[in-house]
Parts: sequence; C-alpha cells; structure tokens
Amino acid sequence: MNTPSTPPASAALTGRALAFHRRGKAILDGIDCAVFPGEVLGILGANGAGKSTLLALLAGDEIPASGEIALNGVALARLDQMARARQRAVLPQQATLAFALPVRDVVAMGAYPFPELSPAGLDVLVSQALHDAGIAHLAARAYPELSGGEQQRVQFARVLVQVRAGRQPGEARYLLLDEPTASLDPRFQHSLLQVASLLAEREHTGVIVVLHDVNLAARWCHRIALLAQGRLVASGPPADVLQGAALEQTYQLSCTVMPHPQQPSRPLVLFA
Amino acid sequence: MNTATLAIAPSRPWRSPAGMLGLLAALLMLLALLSLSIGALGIPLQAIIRIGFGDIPANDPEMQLWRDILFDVRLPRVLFGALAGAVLALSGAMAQALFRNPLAEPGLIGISAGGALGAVAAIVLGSGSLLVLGPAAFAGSLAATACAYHLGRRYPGMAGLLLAGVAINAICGSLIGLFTYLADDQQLRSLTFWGMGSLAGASWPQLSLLAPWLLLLSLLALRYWRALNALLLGEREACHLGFPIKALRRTLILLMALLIGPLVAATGGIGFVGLVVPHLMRLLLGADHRLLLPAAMLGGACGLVAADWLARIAVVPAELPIGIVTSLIGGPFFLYLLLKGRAA
Repeated sequence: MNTPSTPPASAALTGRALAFHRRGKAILDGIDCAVFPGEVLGILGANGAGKSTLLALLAGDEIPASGEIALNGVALARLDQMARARQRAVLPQQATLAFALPVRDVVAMGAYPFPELSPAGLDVLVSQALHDAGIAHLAARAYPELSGGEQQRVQFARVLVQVRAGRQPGEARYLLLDEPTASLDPRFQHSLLQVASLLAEREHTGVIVVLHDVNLAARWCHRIALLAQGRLVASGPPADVLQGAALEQTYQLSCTVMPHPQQPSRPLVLFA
Repeated sequence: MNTATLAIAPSRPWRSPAGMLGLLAALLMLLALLSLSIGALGIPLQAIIRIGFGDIPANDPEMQLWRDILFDVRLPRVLFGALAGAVLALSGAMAQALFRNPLAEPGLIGISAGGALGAVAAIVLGSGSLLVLGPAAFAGSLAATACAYHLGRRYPGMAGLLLAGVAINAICGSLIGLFTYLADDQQLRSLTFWGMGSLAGASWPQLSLLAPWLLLLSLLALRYWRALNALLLGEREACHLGFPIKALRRTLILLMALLIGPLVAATGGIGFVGLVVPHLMRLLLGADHRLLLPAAMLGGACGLVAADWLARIAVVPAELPIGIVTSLIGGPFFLYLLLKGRAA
C-alpha cells in the first residue's frame, strides 16, 4: 500500500466515541474510527451489528447521540450538504429511479455538486467512470431496464464521478460504500473493489466499505474494523484482525483461518 | 459522444431536445393564431397580421371592430391561457419529481382544495365579487398548503406530507360541501361555474398583475432542474449530492403554492393539465428536468390555449367551462397513457 505523500494531519474522515440509539436501544457505542486518504477501510460484522448505521453517521445522514465526526479536520455538523457533497460521495445499498433516465445521465449526476465543471470536463469524467464500472456498453440504456447488479454498477460510476470531480491538487476525498457488492457476481465484486482500491492508492481518496464477504475484505481492504453488537471488536490490517476468536465473537459461528494458498500473507477464512 | 443523444431518442433522430422545444414553440404560435382567428366571430389571418403591424385604416369599421375584439378580448385571453397552462404543467412536473410519483400533482397537498374553499367561502359569505374572491382563494390555497406542510413535517420523508395532504383535502372538501349546502340558488350557480374553471375573466389588468409574478417564479423554478433530477434517485441520495432535502422540499412546495395559488384564484378549477402534460412530455423527451421543465411549460401552454379555444367554439355562441374540456380530454388521454404501458 502506498502511504500518501505527507498528508496534512487533518486529512481524514474520523469518528470519535460515537454512540447512537434508536428507541432507547443502543445501536452503536463508543466507536472510534478513521479513514485516511490512500486506504480502504472495510467494516465487517453480523446483521444488525451497526455497520450501515456507522456509515450513515459518517455520511451525516444520522446524527450521533454523542461523539464527534470530522471531515478533513472540520466538524461534520458545521458543514452544509453542499460542502459535504464536494468532499465525499456515498453509494447507497440500492437506488431506484422514479422516472426513466439514460444511464449516462444518472452517472453525470455525480457532478451536480460541481456546477463549475465544463461540459467537456464532465464528459471525460463520465466516460472514465463508465469504463471503470464496466458499464460503458450500457451508457445509452434506460436505468430502470437494467438488472439489479447493473444498476449497482451505474450508481458506483455515479459516485466515482462525484469523488473525482473538481479536485484541487492534493485535495483529500472520501468514498463511502454500503454493501457495494451485494448484487454483483464474483467478477464484478472483485473489479469494483479493485477500482476502489486503486482510487484510494492513486487518487488520494479514503474509502470506507461495508462488506459481508470476509475473504473479499481480506483481498482488497488495507484495514478492517470488526463490529459486534454496536461495539468495535478489532481493527487493523486484515492479517491481524481476521483471527479465529475475533471472527467467532463477531459472527457467532465457528471458523478456520489459514494462509491463502496462493498469497500466504493474506488470510483465508472458512466458516463452519 | 452520440450515445447521449441516442439514449433520449433511440429511433427518432429528428427528436433532438432543441428541435422538440422549437416544435412545441411553433405549435404554440399556431394554436394562438387559430385561437385569435376563429371564434364566435371569425377574423381572417391576414387581418390579424395587418392589425399586428398596426396597419388599421381609419375608415374601415370592420377592421376597427376586429382590432377591439383582438386586443380587448382574445389576446389577453390567449396570453393568460398560455401562461396558466405553462404554470400548471410546470408545477405538475415539480410535484411529480418531489413525490417521485407520476400520478402526483400540486393538488395533493391541498393547494387547489384550499383555493376552492377560499373561493366558495367568498361566494357564500361575501359578495362573491372578483375583488374578494381572488384574494380569498389565494389565501385559502396558501393556508391549506402551510397546514399540510407543517403537519406532515412530523413524519420522516414525503409520506407524512402526503397523508396530511389527504386529510387537508378531505377537510376542505367537507367545508366546501357545507358552504354548498348553505348557498342560495344564485350562489350555487356561481360556485358551480367557478369550480369548472374559466379563462373568460382574463384582462390586461389581471395579466399585468399576474404575468410578472408567474414568469419570475417559473424562471426561478427552472433553476431547480438539478435538484429535481437528484430527487428521482431518492431523498437521501439527493442529500448526498449536496441538496439539503428539508430546505429543498420547503422551497419547492412554496414555489408550487405561490404559482398555483394565484392561478386557482384567477381561473377556478382547471384539472388534468398539471397531471397529463408533464407525463406526455416525459414520454416524448425523457425525464431530465433541464429539458422537461421548459418542455412542460410549452406543452402546458399549448394544451390550455387549445382547450380554451375548444371551450369557446364548441357551443357557439355560449362557451363551455374550460375545466370540463381539460378533464374531458385529459382524463381519457391519461387512461390511454396508462394502458399503453410501462413506457414512463
């Protein structure tokens, strides 16, 4: 992993001592997390562990009961929606479109926070994102006609445009992905995370991704945070975090961890 | 990239966005000329053109009569019809994006019912003169919208607003019923006709009062095309794209109320334009609001000028209320669009 060249100390998306309740029930409690430009942070955990809630807090969709979130050193609460949108993009679990728009128009929406962008500049960004998401051949199709997996890749292309548009040199951006691989086949699961990983390493972006597939996370994430019942169980590089005890505590399921046959430094997790 | 244009018009290369807007504008001019020319009294097109250029011989009483009819009656009416149609369809397109539903229209949140209640109250309780009726309808429409908005805000998302709108519409409906029950025969007749809508009241003073207001607000509304497109993705997604959803919702609702309120006051109930025209334009041009909003304005203007013309010539020398014409054509047309399938 390339460490970004001397980022300012504040270049990060950080959450400190985050707590969140819903109807008196603690969903998250005492969570500290941070993602820095140049890395992919994977969030793993069982259903209901609070992964999506943590992402929603970091995106500013929900307001934490206590704790602080900062985007590049500025408290998130002090940034308006436009200032947030110009620094981070969020991929929803799924997005339906109320009326039919062509795929290319949906992808181009990623540039809405950047009205200063020239049409030519936008065209380049959109074409690149279509290519990266592997949907260049779908550009002219109507979005609602696509399959669920294709729609997810269109949304991914849209957030790629948003996270790349109007960048100043050295500016840190963040990409929040909520289960981006849920409806993708193995090939596109890997190619999406590869694009995210390259984006992090080469384009000064911090990526947070909520995943269910532990081995996918082991392959593509620079760091992993394990969540169980709203608390952080472990956090660190995949080889350190993906250990039997921590995984069994997280998923309540016995598992075997072994070195990957082809890449011994990468753990391979087999459940049950 | 040609793919972008192809996406909007797969098999119809002549359907470029600019071409379509031009076509709609040409259609509007044609309908306006027809409406100016043909009526209870026919005025030849050549005469209209000569009058338009100020070429009116002083010793020609027929030309002078035509000029009076054109300038005092037909022109303000055509202009007002175009303006009203444009505003109704524009608000309809906004409401459909805001509610993410092709069946939505501004009336959902009580704008029209509130206006009707104000008007009926003015007819039954007051003198029913236009000076009282207009402001009463406007006030009623704003009050009903404000009620729906503030009550609906307590629930997350648009569901609360919709439910509050349903309740406000029901309450307005029952109060209108109560006033109808209390009304005497003369009042009953005026409120029935008011409810069916008419452009017959169009005049230069009314136009000079309403046109700047409506045009300015419409231009302001056109600037929200990005936000309306983003809303198609969902409210949370619109937020993530930088649009503060609560403020946006409030602004759009206020814009609709300020656009529709004065119209309801001036024209009465004109149905289906706000529902059908945006739908039709979406079928023709796609759902991109940068194009859809101006197209809806032109389409709505065409629709209402045509409907008013039909209302004037259908039962000469009398005239039909325009709301009857729009609903009579719009209703079946809407059913046709629905049955034609999942195109939009």
